[in-house]
Order: sequence, then structure tokens, then C-alpha cells
Amino acid sequence: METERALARPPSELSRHLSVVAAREHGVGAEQLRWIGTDPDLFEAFYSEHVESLQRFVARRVGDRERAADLTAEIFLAAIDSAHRYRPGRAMPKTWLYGIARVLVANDCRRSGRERAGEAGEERLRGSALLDPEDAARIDARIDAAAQSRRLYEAMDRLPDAERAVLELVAIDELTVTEAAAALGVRSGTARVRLHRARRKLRADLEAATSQSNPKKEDRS
Amino acid sequence: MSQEQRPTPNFEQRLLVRLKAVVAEHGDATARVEAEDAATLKPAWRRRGPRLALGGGVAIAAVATALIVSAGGDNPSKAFAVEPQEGGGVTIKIYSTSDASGLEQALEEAGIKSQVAWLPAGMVCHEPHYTPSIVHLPGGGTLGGMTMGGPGGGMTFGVGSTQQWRERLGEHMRGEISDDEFENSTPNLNLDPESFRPDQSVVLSGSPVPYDGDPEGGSVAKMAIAEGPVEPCEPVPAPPNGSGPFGLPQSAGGRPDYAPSDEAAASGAAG
Repeated sequence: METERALARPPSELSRHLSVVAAREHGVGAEQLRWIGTDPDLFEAFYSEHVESLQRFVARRVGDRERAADLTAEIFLAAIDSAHRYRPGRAMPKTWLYGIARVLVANDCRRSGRERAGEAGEERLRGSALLDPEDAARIDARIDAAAQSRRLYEAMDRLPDAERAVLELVAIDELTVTEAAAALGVRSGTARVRLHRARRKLRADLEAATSQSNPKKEDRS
Repeated sequence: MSQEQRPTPNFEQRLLVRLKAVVAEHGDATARVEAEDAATLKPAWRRRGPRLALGGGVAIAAVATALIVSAGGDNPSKAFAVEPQEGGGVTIKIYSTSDASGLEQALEEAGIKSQVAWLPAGMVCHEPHYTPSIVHLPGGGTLGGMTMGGPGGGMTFGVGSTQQWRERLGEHMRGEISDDEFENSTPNLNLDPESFRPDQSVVLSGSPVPYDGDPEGGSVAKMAIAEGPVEPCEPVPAPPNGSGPFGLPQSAGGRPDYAPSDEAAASGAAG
């Protein structure tokens, strides 16, 4: 059946729809991202593209199912709220989203359990309230699978913040050095130097920890 | 119950529903602000009309030159203008629903076979007089047909590559060109000759409608894609006007039938 409509603003309506078509097929591009906060269809395309990897991102940093679900919701809400300020030249969509996620997860880790409990009733959307038992089992499995990453994080806690940040994005979230530099707002060269230093320190730290906890393995190496 | 058998949505799907509701609220709030702003402005097509008519300057000169170049100088119609697009293709601006054969010729020269029927007010073509079809757009999506309405001729066709049209869209999305500039400079509809099969053509019909106090100040037009032979248009009285602007019916979906999938497009063409 033919769709009939008076096109008061035809190019905008057509462009919107073509944009959604392209986003579903090829992902939400930098030129479309600013509309995800006001266009449900474009947002769905963006969400579908990133929700799995974002949940893994959170699970690598947070070992609690409820907090992981809350953070996933908070990160997407923050993306919705700030999409209109996105500027394509500054970061790709994935990098931009990880930049938001990184800040929110870091803020969450700094809050105490009491602070979180106090803020619970003020949240617009509480992700953990949407979990059912089957979701819980699935998310627990994801969190368990990320246990080694979280141990790595504990070791990374001993690194200077600037070095830790670039290592985190490159080694764990698989961003390129250039993408990580953009997410952190530093030059690629600076990120590369910090990455090199972080890796060197972390290797020494992990080797020391391994030799203390597992002397047999140390003997074999 | 295994995950495959569960009838209820999972966490990610429930979260998506809630987040989309938040986005819809944002969108509604933005639309209300835009509507308030727009209430103080005249329609974009209305604004474009007087500028060309008063012209005497660059705009008229550009149109005249384009007519001579693109229409070969032997059929300069005032009912429409053919302008070259930057980067290839042409833009056909329709100022009034007259000179149907001239428009057919212009579309043919641009690479699109067509049948154009401009009818008196209150008339439409008796249907069916062609077999509806769709074209598959390069890079994804399909185009079936649509009905347009607006002041004056009420429409502008682009005939050129879909990629070029999407790049223009990208410039708009990136904020490199303003909403106003985009609406005034970008065709309402792009026809990509590369996407048409040899047996496919455009079927266009339209008639004047009242607008802004003028009984024939606006127009409505229906564009469809046909495959195979197209019978001549037999004018018949139009059904009662719809409740939408320019007397058009409001669609349930509210969108032209650019479809994201073959299946959706096929169902649109069949209807």
C-alpha cells in the first residue's frame, strides 16, 4: 500500500528515514549520532550495535550483577542526554560511548555502597529493576568470564591514572591507540608513550605477584 | 525453561523499551519547541517561490542558464526548471502542474522514463493503469512511491546518484549546512537512474489544490514506480479530501515508503 502524506518538511522526513535505514544496515555513523537522543529508531540502531560490547566493558570492571545492570542503563541514558552535543570530528561513536562509560564506571567505583543506596530512589531508570532470574544467570556468567580482566584491573590500580587509562582502553577494550587518545583527549604520541610505560610496569607487577602466589609456575617459565 | 523457549523479553530488550521511551520524550519536547518556532515562519516552499519570482538576480540567471543547457533551449518551459547538480545529475523544480510532456522529456534526458499527467483540480487518474513496482537503492533500501503536497508546484525532484544525495544528507546531519539551507537546496525526492531496471518507469500525476486563499495556490502529486507498460491516465473525480494538509489523507505510518527491507517494500508495492 502506498504511503500518502503531505510533506510539510519532506527532505527532513525523507532524510530521517533513509538515515535509519543506513544506520540499521551499517551502524550509526558520526553524522547521525547527534540524533540518537531524539529519534527512537536511530537510538535502537545505536543500542543494538553497542549493547553487547558495552555490557562486556562493564563486566570487566564491575563484579556485581545489580551494579552492572544499573551502570548499563546509566551509560545509555547519559548518551541520550549528551548526544546533541556530539561533534563528529572529535571522536567516533564507539569511542564517544566508551568515553562516557569510562567516566561513569570510574565515578561509580569511587562511590561507597551507602552513597549508591542513597541515590537509588533518585535514578530515572534503574537497570537492576529490569532483571529477572534468567537474566541474572546470564549476566553472572558474563561477569565470571571477565574475572581475569578484573584481577588485571586490580593490578592496574597501582598504575598512575594517566597510564592506566590508556592501557585500559587499548588492552582491555580493544581500541586503537589513536581511538584511545581521542577518548582521553591527548595526542596519539602521548598515548603511545603512556601505553609503553604502563605495560612495562604492569608486566613487572604481575610477574612479581605470580611468583609469590604460584612458585611452580614461576619455576616452569 | 531454556532461553530459546522463553516468551518474555530479556533484560536488554526491556531496557531498550524503557530507553526508547526516554528518547521519545526528548523527541517530543524538541518537536514542540520546533513547532513553536515554525509557527512564526511561512512554509519553506512558500519562502522559495517569491525569491525566484522576484529574482532578477543570480537565482533567475542560474535557472535560465540551466534551462537552456539542460532542455536544449528548444523547449524552455516555465512550468519547471532543470538545474545541474554539483557533482552530477540534475534537479527538476516544478513550479506548476502544467507542461506534462515537457517534464517527461526533461526526465528522459536525465535518464528516467516517465508518464506525467497534470489534471484539473479535483481529478485523479483511474487506477490501476500500471503495475506497481519498487526500485532498489544503491547502498540499501528501496523506493516505491509517495504522494506529495505543497504550495505552488509543490515538489522538486533530484535525478542523480543516491550516494551523492546521502552525502548531502550527511552534511546536513553534521551541521555543515543549516536546516533551512538543506530544505531549500535539496530535492524532495531523489531518483537514481542506476537503480531503475529497463522496464521500470516513474508514473507521476497531480492537480492544483487550494492554498493560502488561492483556489489553485498549491498542488498535490502522486509519484509511483511502474514496471512494464503504462496505460494512459483516465481522469476521474478524486475521492473526498483527507484530513491532512493540502487535502491529503494522513498515513498510518506517517512516512514515505522508502523501505528498509525488500519484504517491507514488496508489501508496499503490492498494496
